[in-house]
Amino acid sequence: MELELYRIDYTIVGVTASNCMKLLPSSFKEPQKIAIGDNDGILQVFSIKKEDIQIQFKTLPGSKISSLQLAGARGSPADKIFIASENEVRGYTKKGKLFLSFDTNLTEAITAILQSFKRWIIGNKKYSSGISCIESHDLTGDSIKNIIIGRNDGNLEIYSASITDEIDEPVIIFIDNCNESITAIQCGIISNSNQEEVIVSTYTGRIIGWTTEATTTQFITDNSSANHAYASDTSQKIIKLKNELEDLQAKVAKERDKYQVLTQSLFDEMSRIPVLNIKHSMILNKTAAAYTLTLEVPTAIDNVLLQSNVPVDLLDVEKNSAVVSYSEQDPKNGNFLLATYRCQINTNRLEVKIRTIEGQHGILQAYITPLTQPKFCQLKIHEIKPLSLHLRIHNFDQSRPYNSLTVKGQFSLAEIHSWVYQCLPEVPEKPQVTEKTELYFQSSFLDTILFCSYWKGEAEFKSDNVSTISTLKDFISKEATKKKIKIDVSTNIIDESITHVLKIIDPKLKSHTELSNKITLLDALHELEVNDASSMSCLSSKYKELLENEKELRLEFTSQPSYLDRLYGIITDLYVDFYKLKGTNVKSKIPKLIHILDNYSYEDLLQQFRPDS
Amino acid sequence: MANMEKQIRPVFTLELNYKIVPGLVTIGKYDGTHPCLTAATTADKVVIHSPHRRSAAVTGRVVWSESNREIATLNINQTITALCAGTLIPGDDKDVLIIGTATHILTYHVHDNKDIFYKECGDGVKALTLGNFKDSKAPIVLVGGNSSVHGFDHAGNEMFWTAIGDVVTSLILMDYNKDGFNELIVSSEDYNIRVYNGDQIINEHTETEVVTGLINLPENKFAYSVSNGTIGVYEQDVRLWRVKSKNFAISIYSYDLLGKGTAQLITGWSNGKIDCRCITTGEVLFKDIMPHGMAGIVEGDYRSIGKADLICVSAEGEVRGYTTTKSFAAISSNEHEQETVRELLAQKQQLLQELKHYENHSKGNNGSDLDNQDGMGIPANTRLQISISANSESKIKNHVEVFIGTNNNTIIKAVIVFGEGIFTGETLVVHPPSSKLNTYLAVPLYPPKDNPVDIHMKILVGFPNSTQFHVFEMTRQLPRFSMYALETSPKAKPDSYVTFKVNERLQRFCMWINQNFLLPHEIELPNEPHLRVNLKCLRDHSTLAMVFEFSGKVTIYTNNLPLAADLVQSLARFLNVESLESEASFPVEEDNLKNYVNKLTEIQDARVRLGTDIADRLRQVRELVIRAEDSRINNLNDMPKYYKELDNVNKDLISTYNVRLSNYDEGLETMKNINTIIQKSSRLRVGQKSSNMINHCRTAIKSNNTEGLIKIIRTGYL
Repeated sequence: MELELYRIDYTIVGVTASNCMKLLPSSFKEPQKIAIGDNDGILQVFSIKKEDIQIQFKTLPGSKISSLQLAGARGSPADKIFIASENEVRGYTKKGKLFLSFDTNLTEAITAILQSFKRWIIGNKKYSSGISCIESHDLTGDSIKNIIIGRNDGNLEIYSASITDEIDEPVIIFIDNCNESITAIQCGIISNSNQEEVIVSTYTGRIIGWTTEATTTQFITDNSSANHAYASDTSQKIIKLKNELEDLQAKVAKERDKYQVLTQSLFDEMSRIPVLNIKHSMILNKTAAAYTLTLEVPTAIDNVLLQSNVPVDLLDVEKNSAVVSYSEQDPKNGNFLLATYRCQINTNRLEVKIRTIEGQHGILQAYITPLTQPKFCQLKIHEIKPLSLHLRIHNFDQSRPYNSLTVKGQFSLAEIHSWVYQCLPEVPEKPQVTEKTELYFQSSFLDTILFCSYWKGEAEFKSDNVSTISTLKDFISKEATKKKIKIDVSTNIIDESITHVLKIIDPKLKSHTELSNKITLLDALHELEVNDASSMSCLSSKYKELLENEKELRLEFTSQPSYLDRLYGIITDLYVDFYKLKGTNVKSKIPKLIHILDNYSYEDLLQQFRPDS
Repeated sequence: MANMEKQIRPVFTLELNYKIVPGLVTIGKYDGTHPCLTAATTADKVVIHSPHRRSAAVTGRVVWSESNREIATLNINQTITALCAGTLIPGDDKDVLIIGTATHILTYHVHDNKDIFYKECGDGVKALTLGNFKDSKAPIVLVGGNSSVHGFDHAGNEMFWTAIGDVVTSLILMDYNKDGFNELIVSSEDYNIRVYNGDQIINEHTETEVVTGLINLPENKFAYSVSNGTIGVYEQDVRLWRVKSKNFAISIYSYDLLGKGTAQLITGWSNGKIDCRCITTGEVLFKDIMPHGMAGIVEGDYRSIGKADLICVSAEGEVRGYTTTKSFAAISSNEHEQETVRELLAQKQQLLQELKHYENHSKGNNGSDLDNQDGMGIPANTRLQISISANSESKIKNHVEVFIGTNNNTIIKAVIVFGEGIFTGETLVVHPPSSKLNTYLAVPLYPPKDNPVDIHMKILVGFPNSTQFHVFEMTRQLPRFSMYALETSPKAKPDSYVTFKVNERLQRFCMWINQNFLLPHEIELPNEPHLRVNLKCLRDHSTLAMVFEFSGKVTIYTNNLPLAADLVQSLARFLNVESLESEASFPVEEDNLKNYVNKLTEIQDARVRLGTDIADRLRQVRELVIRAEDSRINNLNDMPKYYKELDNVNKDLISTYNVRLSNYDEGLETMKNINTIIQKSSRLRVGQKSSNMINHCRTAIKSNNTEGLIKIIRTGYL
């Protein structure tokens, strides 16, 4: 790391939405004030003096603040604060005077007042977590702006990049993690008058600064009074915080008692816990063909229970420190997955990778229990759709051999749309107003295509993958029966499509079989003594190469656990679906298919699928 | 944290260029002064790293590497199972290296290049330690095997023996009870940590999984690691703390890394993480990460500066040395302050959140929608009733049942039970489908062993369509013998029993039963002069009957020897009995023992026979190779014939090898069965009587006296 920055935690506010923190402009090297709005509807402006916050003003709570911007009249500093909450926009002066308030008359909540898009190309292969905010500022003092990025997984990254020179690769010069998603980044002079600082707000409302001044090291190397004072600032702050906590504790204890009395009461009073704002998402990762479930809670998490009524695999996430425990599954009661994550202290965020199986649809339920009193847990439900591994695309290869499925009947556009919506990810909930809807998808695992085209009373689906067609057919038939809608379903299966899909699978199967063979071989090679150069030279070049690339090979192997099993599953499904659509049941032939796969050759496999070809 | 990690940097790093077997790392001063890192490689070699080596004169067993003059290897050609170094020979300050394999131990004097002794260990070698124990004047080598611990002096004479009952995983010698003498602490695959003062067990701790490592700490404490990722520290009976991680601790060590004046606990994890914790609290004070999993941690003065460094070795052979870093303490105080701020802010956040709940709560109640089941609230006076019972009526499988019910129309959405050692993971989740949601729910538990278990339950209560549930937290302890239910229609008493006498009133026995069993109602003092309890084991439906007489005579009828032993130990502990002798009759186990002893004799005979066979075959191989190669020059047509014959002999060799292997495995298994019966029988007695019995058994085994062995098991005496 070229840049050394030191973390200081200033304060906490309520849960914050994206980009709701700004620095107010100041003249010359005067420390700047921080303006921040939170989900409780509180807008506050404060400055920091000796690590302590000094509040300029603080509004009363109201509806959630979803955006905060600064503006000013032309020629004067942009020191007016505009906030948006629900469908209202309000303007404050830097002193806290409300000078503007208007209703936008929009029915939907405003999420941003101003939107500006900037595009930076920064490749970071190690981190796939989304970028939540971005800022540019000269931190290194070389009058070239650095790029500062905050990510959803809490990573703060600072790059140095020459924007004028396109060939110049951005270089990462600082990285730290604050364990919760970053909602805003600002740079400026905050706590010390001649010191640049990065200030970050996080989802749960922490305000954290990274200062360029090496306070800690200086404290050690010289005992000058100034630095000593700095350290005692922290001590002062701790004392203050402790006092604050004591008051709070007393207050909470009183409320707790009141609550206890209530629970003893004979009246039918309700014990109601306000809905806690839990940020959650389940996003398909294209390269891994797996979902990432992310949960983020404003307070520390105690535990999370994951339950699913379809078989799914949980993959280990290295940065996840929670202790996972699998309870015995109970398919009879619809519990194919029962896993608990017991979080380590101060974990606000949990990330879990989940692999789904196409053709099996159901729900994934996450019961999140935060570490607060009174104890409660919130249920978040995510749907696992039948074609869960498909992604929307915008154009596709027309030349592939496409099987088709045609559905005709007395259904409305809304009905057919809702079936497609229930079947595939990335479909808007409401149908388009147009007469005919066309959607294209691609499987993230096999790259096969699905083309959907539907309108009132008729739908046509085309895919080069028979299993996709079969899954759709089963799902739509079932839904139609449920709604008592009579439909005619017809399929047109192109035998050539099987050859095409097997050709797609062939290199995957080959390379992975090869990889797993290599791993077996590596284990065998380790039985030998291959540490010194003399015995190394006795090995064939192939083995030498294997040993040299061992690390990469093992990483590749472990990053895709049971990949081969997954391919086997897909091929078996393809085999069963293909014949099912032709009206034959081939379940009894599966052992033979598996045998062919174990001794794989493309020709044998094709022969098994299409004996007549 | 970023700051902290910068402060402690390795003081040296080096590469051994060998892959190291995790756990098999030691250090020895083979010349009496200079420490040499010693480790077992995955290729069955012992690698000795001597950075201070001056002369290259030593030859013999040790082979010095040509490319790296600091490295020497020792070919063992058998899988190395344990390593240990230290001074053994009285009057010699040079360390010896002790190497354990599946069948032998080799005690080797590296400096003088000579074998001190090479000894067959029929019970295998799983763990080694070295030091003063019992009344020994000189250090002894302690060898933990598949079911026993042996002790040898420097001449290879057996000084100590005891039966363990399961595979030994780790051994340490330390002063456990602060009496100024070393006790032996043994961990074994049956999840136990046992403490021996001489022959006598003075304490036993049961963990929730296999204990994989032990290390002595200053001030009579010791640390342990468990195969489920737990590490913890004991000070005598008291477990000071334990933590569980998703990785496994490979090596634990004590070293004062932070210059605090007393040592910290250093743990090397399977993922390459090294952390340094406060011994008394378990708080993490420092951590670093190596790119590969850890293989071992030792200490030694590797830089010849007069102070020992902490040396960490990874499975890939990377070595990092750390040393006490005093300045860190000062840095840490400031860094610590920042941590404190962070911690306090988190607390504040939490309290504010709680306060918000109460505020909103009182607001909510001012509204009119009280009976609204919008999914956010439950009646404030909702209570849970919980009862735990041994369910013997269940049609499925008998189990301990935790029954939970609400007192109103709220339903139980799910129950998460946290408990260690009773599920495959650490939790059991009961999550009924939405069609079966009800105001009550039963959680079945199947404790696999007779140990007391703490269960912590989180019960999710709400309405069927709620999206937020109240979580009720309950902690209960299942008594040690919860898998036993009262027998309603008493059956015939089992043939086997153990009987003994303790001077106690019947009331005390009642108390013991009520505390240790899960019975529907408390056992009360009977009108008769004796108390009789008939029980059924829920695991196998076997009968357990206990008769307590007015005279203090107790008889336990069960065919299950381990259960009888557990009951005796539990009762003795409850009544504070320090020494107890008993009479036992377990005809089935006695027969088994007889059969095992006979079988062992047969196996040993067969082993000798197979040994001679092999020598003969090897001679044939040599001859055939020569003949075949001879024919290559003289008569090419004969060559295939000889090679075909060689192939046959080779096949024979392989098959006899397999026979020998199964013979060996069977021998080990049989020996383990014998040792298990002895160990369990010794637990039918308490204290001195128990260790006396073990000593008698040892004598009986030595003299092949099977009848004597059975007599000891019955009476405790030869």
